[in-house]
Amino acid sequence: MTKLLDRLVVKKTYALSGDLAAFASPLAVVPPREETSGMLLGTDDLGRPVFLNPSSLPNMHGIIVGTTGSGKSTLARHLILEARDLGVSSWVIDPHGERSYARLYSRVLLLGADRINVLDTPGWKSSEFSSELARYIERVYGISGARFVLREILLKCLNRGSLSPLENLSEVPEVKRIYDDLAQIHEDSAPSVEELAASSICFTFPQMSSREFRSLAALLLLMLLQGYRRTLGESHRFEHMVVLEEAHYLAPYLLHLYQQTRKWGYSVIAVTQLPRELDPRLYQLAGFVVALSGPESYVNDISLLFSLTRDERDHILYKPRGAALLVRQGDPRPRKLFLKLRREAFPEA
Amino acid sequence: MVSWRTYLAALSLLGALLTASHSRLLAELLAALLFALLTPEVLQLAVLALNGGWPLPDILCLKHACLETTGREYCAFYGVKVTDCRHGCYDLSEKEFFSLSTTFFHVGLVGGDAEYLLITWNQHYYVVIRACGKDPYELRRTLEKHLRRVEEALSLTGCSWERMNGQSLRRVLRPSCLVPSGRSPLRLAVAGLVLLPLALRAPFLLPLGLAGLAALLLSQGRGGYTAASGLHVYTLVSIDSFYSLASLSDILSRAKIVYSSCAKDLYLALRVRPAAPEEEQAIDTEAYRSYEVGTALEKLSLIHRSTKFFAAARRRWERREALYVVSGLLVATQSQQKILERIGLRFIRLPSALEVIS
Repeated sequence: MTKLLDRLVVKKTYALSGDLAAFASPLAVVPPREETSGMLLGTDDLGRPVFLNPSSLPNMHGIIVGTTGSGKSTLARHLILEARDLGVSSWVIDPHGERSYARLYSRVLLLGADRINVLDTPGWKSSEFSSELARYIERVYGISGARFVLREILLKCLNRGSLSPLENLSEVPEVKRIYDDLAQIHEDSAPSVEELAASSICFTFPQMSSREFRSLAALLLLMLLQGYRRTLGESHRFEHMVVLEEAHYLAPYLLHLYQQTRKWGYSVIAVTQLPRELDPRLYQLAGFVVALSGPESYVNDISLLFSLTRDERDHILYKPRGAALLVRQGDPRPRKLFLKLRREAFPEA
Repeated sequence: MVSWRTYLAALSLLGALLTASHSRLLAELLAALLFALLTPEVLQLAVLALNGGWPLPDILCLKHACLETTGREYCAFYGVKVTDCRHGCYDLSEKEFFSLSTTFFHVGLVGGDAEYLLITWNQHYYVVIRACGKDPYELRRTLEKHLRRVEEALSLTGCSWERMNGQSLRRVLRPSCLVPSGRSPLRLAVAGLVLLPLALRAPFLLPLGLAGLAALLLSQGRGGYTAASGLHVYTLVSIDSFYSLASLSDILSRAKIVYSSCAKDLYLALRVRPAAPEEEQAIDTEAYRSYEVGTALEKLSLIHRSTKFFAAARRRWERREALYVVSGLLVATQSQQKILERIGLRFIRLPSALEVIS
């Protein structure tokens, strides 16, 4: 009876494989697999919610890149709020001192006015810490060849628990400059990194501070955090997040961080304006990259990093705000993202 | 190509004319048969009137398969769900898309003793294999063999998949966009009361009576299904692109339309069977025959028809495209159906299309 019914009522037609390809091939139907949980970023071009899932990424280091006004800081704030919902504490290191960041935190430290104890370095051997710090100070302050001298001076500071060895040499202009900046950050009785890492904090800077000061302060914070996290032992859980605004200031140290800190349970999200400002190797190491919209030459630079289709290029080229491309490690297909950010993340909220 | 149904209808008409003067009852029966053959919609309407939806057989879903019993035979379903593809119409070039897609069909759908259901539902893609037989063990071997071939094809296409369990198969074969219609004994009684006197007292309405009777028989033991609110059930009538030498860019652009506009909230089930050699040959034969007859009689319509079949024949020989016999069910909104129509898939509203998934 079923066969009779089938013959009588079901219409049959011919199709060649090329006809079926257009509408019945998995390649014409199946969109890239998407996460169903984690930190919500928005929707893709098919209207599906797009999540950043820390547990399915090899690391949670990320890069947010976008030109001025494209919304990268808003996105970073959104990520902070999403992470908070997952029980992840966060630091933000914001050289601009934006109120929008400070608004999200109950604890705000204005580096230069508020101090931290930078000579208490849990997780680091003094020699190791002074070596690393000297290497980056040499770059930040442009005093090439001074690394080993600086290392010795910084080692003395660490051993004595005081900046006096540096102060004693402050007749040398380069050393004085470093001492002045360090003295603005450090105080023996100030909270140590152990105390700071236990809470979510917004670190900001005075409006007119120098680029070197900002870089040194950010570098110290990241180095101290790195050492402290090491004392806690290996952890593949996502427990702490650092949002680093104007990350290109610290591009060389970031590379080292991205290579080293995968297993210490924290991540650094670098926020920067132009893709070329960061080392291309950072894009290879980052767990995810969000490229916001921008002008054509900027989009061309993004295309050099990731193979983009015309649609994907157009997506960030023709939409001034709210559009982004998301690339995650392990899935090279960029997602055309329509950001859906929390109200609290916007500056005007 | 004239269908078997048309031949049978012509024979019925001839029979009715010849027997009219000898036996009025036989002539009426033949006329009723003619009527039912030419307008199966009447039968379908009768079935719908009785069921409130199109009847589909109950399926029994086990751990890895679903079973449907049809008389003395079992029909079993195995399936895979495509979870991800490394590439898609969104990032492939025209040639790559065509080549990979046709590879999937050529390697995966080889047919023989099984039919394939290619199901697209809400941006998910399923390949369900259906085979019928009397020996359950033999049936299992057949299905496993075909399933492995489909998996091999998916692997070649760059897709990952997972085998479906019985419950997943049930959700796909009886999707939530189809809702069971209530089988009301009252409706059956009323239909019976109306149809019976019609059949007995008004012979000229005999076809209706027969259709009603057939509907009662066909509906027996089956639950009716109808589209959920806001959706309609359509059947695939023709694929217009079959008759044209569509360029690869045209194929890709149609795929992109399906990907971006239609794949969401749409249920499309295609029952696909690779065509037999004689069916493949029939394409060429039809092209030659209509050309010869058309030129002999100077009939432009026939010459035009021959060019359409020539296009299909060329694609078979030049692009090595395989020929399939397809029937299709679409459960979608009217706007989705219109979009599909614009890209060359012609559907009409017909509840009996649900037979595709039985």
